[in-house]
Amino acid sequence: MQEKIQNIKNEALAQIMEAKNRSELEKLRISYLGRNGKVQEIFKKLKKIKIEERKHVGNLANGAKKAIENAIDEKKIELASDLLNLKEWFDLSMPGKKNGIGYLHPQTQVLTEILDIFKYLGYQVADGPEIETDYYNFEILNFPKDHPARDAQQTMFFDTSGTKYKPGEMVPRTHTSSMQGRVMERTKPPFKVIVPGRCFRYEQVDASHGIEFWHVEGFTVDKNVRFTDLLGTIEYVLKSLFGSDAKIRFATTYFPFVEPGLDAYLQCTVCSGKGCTFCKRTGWSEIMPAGMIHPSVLKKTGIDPNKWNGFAFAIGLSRVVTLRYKIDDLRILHTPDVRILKQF
Amino acid sequence: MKVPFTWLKDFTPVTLKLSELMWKMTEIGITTESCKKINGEVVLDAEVTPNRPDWLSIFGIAREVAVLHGSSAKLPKYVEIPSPTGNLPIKIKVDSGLSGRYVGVTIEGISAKPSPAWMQKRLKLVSLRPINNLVDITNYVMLELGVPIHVFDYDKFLSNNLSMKLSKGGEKFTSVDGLSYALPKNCIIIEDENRVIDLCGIKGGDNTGISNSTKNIFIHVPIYNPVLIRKTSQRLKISSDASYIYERGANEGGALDSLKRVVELTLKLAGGKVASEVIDTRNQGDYKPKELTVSISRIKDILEIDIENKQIINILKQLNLSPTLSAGRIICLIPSYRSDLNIEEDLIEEVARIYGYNNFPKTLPRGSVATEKLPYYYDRNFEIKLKNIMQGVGYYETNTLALTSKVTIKKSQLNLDNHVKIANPVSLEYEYMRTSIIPRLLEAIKINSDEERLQLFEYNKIYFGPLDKSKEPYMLSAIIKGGKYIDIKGVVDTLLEKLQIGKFNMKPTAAKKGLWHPKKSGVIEMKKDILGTVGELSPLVLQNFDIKEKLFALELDVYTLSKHSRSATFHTPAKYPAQIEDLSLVIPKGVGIGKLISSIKSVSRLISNVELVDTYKDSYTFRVWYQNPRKTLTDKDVKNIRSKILKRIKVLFGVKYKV
Repeated sequence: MQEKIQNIKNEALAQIMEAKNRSELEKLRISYLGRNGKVQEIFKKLKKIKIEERKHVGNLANGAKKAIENAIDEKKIELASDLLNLKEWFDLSMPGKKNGIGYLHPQTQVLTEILDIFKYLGYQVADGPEIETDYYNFEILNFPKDHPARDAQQTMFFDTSGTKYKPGEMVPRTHTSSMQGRVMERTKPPFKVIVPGRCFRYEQVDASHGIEFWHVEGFTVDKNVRFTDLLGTIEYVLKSLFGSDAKIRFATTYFPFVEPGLDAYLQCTVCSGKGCTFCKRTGWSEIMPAGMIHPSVLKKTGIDPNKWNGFAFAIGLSRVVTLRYKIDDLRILHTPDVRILKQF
Repeated sequence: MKVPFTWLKDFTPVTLKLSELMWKMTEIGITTESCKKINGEVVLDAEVTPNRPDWLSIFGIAREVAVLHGSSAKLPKYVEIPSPTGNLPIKIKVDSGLSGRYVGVTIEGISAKPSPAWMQKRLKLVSLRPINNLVDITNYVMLELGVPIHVFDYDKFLSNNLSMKLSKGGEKFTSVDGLSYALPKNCIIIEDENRVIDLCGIKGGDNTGISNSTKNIFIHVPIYNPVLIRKTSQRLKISSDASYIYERGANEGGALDSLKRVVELTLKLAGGKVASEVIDTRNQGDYKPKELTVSISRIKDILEIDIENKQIINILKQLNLSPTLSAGRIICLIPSYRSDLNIEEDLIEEVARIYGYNNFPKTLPRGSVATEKLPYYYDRNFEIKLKNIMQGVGYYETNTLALTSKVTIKKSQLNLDNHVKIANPVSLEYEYMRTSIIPRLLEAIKINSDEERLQLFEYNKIYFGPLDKSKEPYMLSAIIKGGKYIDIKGVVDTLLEKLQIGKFNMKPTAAKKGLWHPKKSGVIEMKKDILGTVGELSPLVLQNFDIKEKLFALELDVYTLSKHSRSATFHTPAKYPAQIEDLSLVIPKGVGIGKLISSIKSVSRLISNVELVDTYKDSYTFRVWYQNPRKTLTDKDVKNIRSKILKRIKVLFGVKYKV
């Protein structure tokens, strides 16, 4: 028996070596390893062998089977060597063909990131008019008429001649805060709102100032909103945007529609606080003005400040984009030069 | 507000390092980002917010700096004004609507000469030019205490019976700067004998100004109505350090103290004797501090800091608000210079800012999430979907300005009357709100003149007037250079396919004016709505923009797109293979290929697809898929359908089939 196995194996290996093509190889495989093949016959005959010898013979048969299988596999590779070898050198470094790819504007990308952060915190996105009334842009936010508080926002005015409006009554909105009055007048708390949008100011245009810029406004009204909730929200948002190592600090400031009012500063991500053109050499960038909503604003919109309170903030979207990508000129954000657009 | 360091130290010791001081001042609300060294002295540049007119003075800032050091600033000592020993009577009629408080006094026998070196030095540090002791003293005290003061040459008065009133309009006035004006209506003025001697709150008159030969003076410290001062300043386009303070609200309660200080310095540096009773239209008693209460539990609820009552009281005390604790409430006495403290929240801010915002813990809001859609709700998912499709078909997103110019509007052949106009534009380049994004895309084509193939898109608002009924719809606009009509049409087809928007019609735009080629562009109609326009841009417009290549574009209304877009409905792929054959047809001119294809498809439900695969001159090859979901079609079945196709297109379009 053992001799027989050895013979079958040798015979098989020799024939495999001589095989000229795959179909010959396949025929050999069937004749040795197939259901009625020579090796299979051996396994069938194992039952007739004495028990003491069965194991040893079985091992031999298995060994033979494996050897034949390996030989077939290797022969397959050898037969295919034509396909697997090269006649000429193949260039792996060849530049790939990129299917006509498009690009999303860096501001779109950053805004999506910001809105995702707020979605996580439970904010709904709202959108409103850029052609705004003085009432929503200023008055309802506690900016009295003829008050220097309005000077901080250099306002442009629409030409009202031939319309029902008085001069100065319609403005391109100077901030997205104009949506606070609009939303709060039309809904009851609790709510969390985020409003991205374009704003307009009378500015001499240069690398850090534009007539048009983008803000993302946020505000929430609920019961027992705490000052620390505002600080915590600001920290959460800035760290999500700029990394958990981002350094933030706060300073008191004044806006008529919040009390207390504050400004959040981010340590300049471009120079790590050493001072550069981005941060006007101070090492810090003002990034989120904010505060607790002034009770008179709540009252004006029909919300009882004794039952409800809230906070509001604005993120300078244009500035965040320039900091994120280290863009040193605001004008780049609205310049449709493909050498710029292709970078993001 | 320029603050020389040494002047600050007159009122409070400063132990903080300069950079730390500047940050701590910023932290409590006086943003101090820069300082200069002038003549060897440090001068801080502090930004004062409109709610704190009391910070428009060195002493006001010193008060806060003292609090930063945990103490209170040293009040300047006010010397009582001596009783008159001279005789220069003065009377003035004051209207309380124009001036909330008016104080003044005359001094006889002064000598006008240069002010002492220390005063000149300080004035120069804050960029004021020293003139002589009398004028310099008024500037000095204004800077020190924050209430503006003016001094007149008494001998130049035509009468010592003055009256304060509103100008009627047309009055002539020459200021101490030598500039002449014809005054508009409603300026606060002081007149003697029917001539204007003071443009109140803004500039003193040349006719009563101080000179080196002045011997007798009238000093006044008026507090004016802020709104009137602001309006006059805006109308005449003049402002001064004084008007700046008045607009924000000068401290009526401090008027008399300022007068005392001016008189003290004048007598000391210019000599002379008091020559009249002090004029005061109010009682100092009217300015007793007012009560304002804040509840401790409210402070703790809102601020959520672990602060002891003792610490709260201490902070309020250092701020000179005289707090007393009574049954869980703190009663403060608000001095007249704190016009910004009116409600409980204002006191809470005082505690918070001095405690230090950076010392607060941080928490996240506890409240629930609103499940109803808010008013003005905006579905950004649709915007992202559109942008992703455009990116996917190889377009670059731009984000251009909304404001445009008359020149651009005219070049684009758009109607100026539809545009909303800015009354005070920064420049004519940014005067109108745009009614189309395409002109900016045309400019983009020019900016990228090196690119042979350019595909740009933008998703943004356009704005339509008139102002009474303005609209701001979102549009999706795109432009392609170096392509053909089928390229831009392909974008439309892709969008409508991805949005599952069904059949639509195209009608030629036909307008001779406007951005579009009247014959080679069309309006896309869907049921009764207009989705937008697509096609070639008008060669006239391209000429105006000096662009030599043909350009194709689209501008679609986003709201209408979203209104008609649907969810995909799944259709099981057919189990049985399709029969596919190509039909080459000669198509006569004037037959819309798109219409032809629709026609073919509608012949039988067993036609699962028809595509144009090749064109050569007037011969078009269409690939037709014949498919039955329930069985494989036989050649006979296919022949049947094919002959129906050929019959239909012959009847409808006169198309003959070449075998």
